[in-house]
Amino acid sequence: MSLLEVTDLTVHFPITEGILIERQVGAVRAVDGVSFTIERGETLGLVGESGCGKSTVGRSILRLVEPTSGEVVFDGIDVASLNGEPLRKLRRRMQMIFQDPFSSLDPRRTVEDTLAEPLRAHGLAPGKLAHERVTELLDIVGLPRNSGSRYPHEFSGGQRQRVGIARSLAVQPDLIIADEPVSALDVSIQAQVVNLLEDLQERFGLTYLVIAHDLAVVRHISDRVAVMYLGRIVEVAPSEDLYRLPLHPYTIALLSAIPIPDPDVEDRRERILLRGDLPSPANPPSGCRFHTRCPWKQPTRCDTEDPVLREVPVAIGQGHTVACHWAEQIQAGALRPHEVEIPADA
Amino acid sequence: MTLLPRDPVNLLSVRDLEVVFTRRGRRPVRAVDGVSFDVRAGQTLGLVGESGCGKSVTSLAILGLLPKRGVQVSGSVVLEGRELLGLPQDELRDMRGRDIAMIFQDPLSSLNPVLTIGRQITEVLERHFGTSPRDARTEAARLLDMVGIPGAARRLDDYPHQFSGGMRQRVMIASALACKPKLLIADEPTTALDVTIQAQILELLKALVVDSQAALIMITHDLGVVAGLCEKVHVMYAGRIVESADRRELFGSPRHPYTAGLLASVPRLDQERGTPLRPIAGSPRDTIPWVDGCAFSPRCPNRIDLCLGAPPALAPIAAEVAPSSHELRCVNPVPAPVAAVVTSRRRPPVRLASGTRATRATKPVKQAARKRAKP
Repeated sequence: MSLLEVTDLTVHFPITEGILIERQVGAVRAVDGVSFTIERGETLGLVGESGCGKSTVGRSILRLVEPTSGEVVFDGIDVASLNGEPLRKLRRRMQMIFQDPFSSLDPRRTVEDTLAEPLRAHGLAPGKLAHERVTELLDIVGLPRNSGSRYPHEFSGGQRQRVGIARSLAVQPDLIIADEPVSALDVSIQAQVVNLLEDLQERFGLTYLVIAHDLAVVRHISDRVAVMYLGRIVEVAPSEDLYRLPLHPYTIALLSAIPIPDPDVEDRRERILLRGDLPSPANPPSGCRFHTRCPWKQPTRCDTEDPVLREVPVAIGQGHTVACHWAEQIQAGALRPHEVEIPADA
Repeated sequence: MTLLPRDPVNLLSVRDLEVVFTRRGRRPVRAVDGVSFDVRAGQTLGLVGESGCGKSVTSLAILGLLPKRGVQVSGSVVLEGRELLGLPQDELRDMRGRDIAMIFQDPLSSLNPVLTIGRQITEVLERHFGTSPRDARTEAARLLDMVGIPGAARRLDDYPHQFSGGMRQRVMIASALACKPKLLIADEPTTALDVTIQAQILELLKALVVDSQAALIMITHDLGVVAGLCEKVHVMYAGRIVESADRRELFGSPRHPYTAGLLASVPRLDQERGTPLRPIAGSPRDTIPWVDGCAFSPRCPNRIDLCLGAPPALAPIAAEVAPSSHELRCVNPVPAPVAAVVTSRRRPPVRLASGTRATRATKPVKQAARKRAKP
């Protein structure tokens, strides 16, 4: 059984009008029918551009955002049905690492206070044991053992992110949701944190959901990658296959847009430039949501028929699914990319 | 105004630029510490480094945008034979926007939120060229169209908040290009944008440099952006240039341990998965003042005793193929890669779209033993 099963998850944020009497006039469809599973010990990467709903997926798994509909089953337990004490207990097993190491730590508490709080809250290290455990945690994430008495401002960005990681490890979770864990850090520090996350996974058998916009980092750390566009997953593939043989037009464009630090490669690449911007999730396009920007858009099906995630025979290996009507034809080269007209009011 | 003999080759020459921030009761901070470089017309130059290395302060010093109080700027910045440092404010204002324009990182906070974008572009034209409001408006529409804003003429009366991030950056670029400046300085122009939008903006900048023959100084922390865009690259660390070379040379055989470290610490999309990242130890905070030796030495894997002592000078590398433009500030550089390594780096063209089908490579198997240990 998978550790986490998400089925048809939907999160809509209401748009309201009126001052005294509020009425809903629409909804931002941040997440609109997302399904995926994560096996124990696996790392799933969730990538997409800003506004695609990837962070909302992470938050709604922990019920930090209430899902509108859909099912989140963690280790056989339906997270959506829980409330109060059982939910709090379950959260011990699912922890989060946040993007911004500056705002996600309380500036007025010492590192030891920050790390001991989850221990106290879950009754994991009573009395004097807490101090020992904090020291151990600091050691695990590679901070000096005596840094417990220091405050967040005394640390650099990378060290603060280590404190954030230690905090999530404190309660010995099964699943860690890391939302953009390295994007706020300097380049030379990113690799340190990525390596730390990998070491910890090996050491404690952790399961990760890594949410990020940087495909290179996600591919490095993840076993499988799910690509999101405007509230939907458009492609899921083993990390290796996603780069070798991307099937969805959006993934193809996304991969070709990522700069590679090698002039030889950069000069020879075929770049597929997407035109225009992400449409509003309050009023997503009909049919395939990518059809307004897709260089492979066809006159039929794309704007009317909603594609589902499906296995395609052209994929290299197992477990590679794509939500595109024309994935086979695009892969075979039967369809060529064309210019995309963008409406003036886009 | 002093007019120096005009340099026939270089549009901009920066010599020994030094910026020191002073504050009462604090030790002065030397943000830029003797930076020298040249830019030719039509050239794209990259200034690369992590936060705090002085790359943005360098650009602000060139434009004279640093405050007078508490800041000491010395050295020389010569644009077409004209010394810019110490120029009176009104002459600086004439120069900014007309000769040198800047594109900032965050288009939302750099555009005026209470003025229409049309006004913000026409203002530049009216100020510098005395263009009539009517002509300026036509020109503004043309500029917006050129940077790829759909329905340009209709959008002149819109405000910055009505545009998306990528579109705002296009507006910034349009207003920077309004006076056809000779030099464009872009400070992290794509850092706040998504990758697909970043690709659009970079493509636009590339085309504009070719069309207008303006020089471009690209300030960024992203080595990938530099690899595809810049002819010449300067890598900065702790206020000094530590390595500079043409892009192929720099990426093909980085010699400074810092440059090599940066390249080894970013995961590459075209790399075999499972290649371990080799981060640089410590953080950019762990520096020593340049007077005590090499500022990178506390983090450097190649550190030797010689690193602490006289600070290394930026010197050309003695190469077999002379003359080399590869300069280095290091006493114990990374050895140049062996020829075999270089050839293996040259891969067949990367095809991302349809076409060749790759065979599945053996995946690096993660450790099977995943015993759950108590942390």
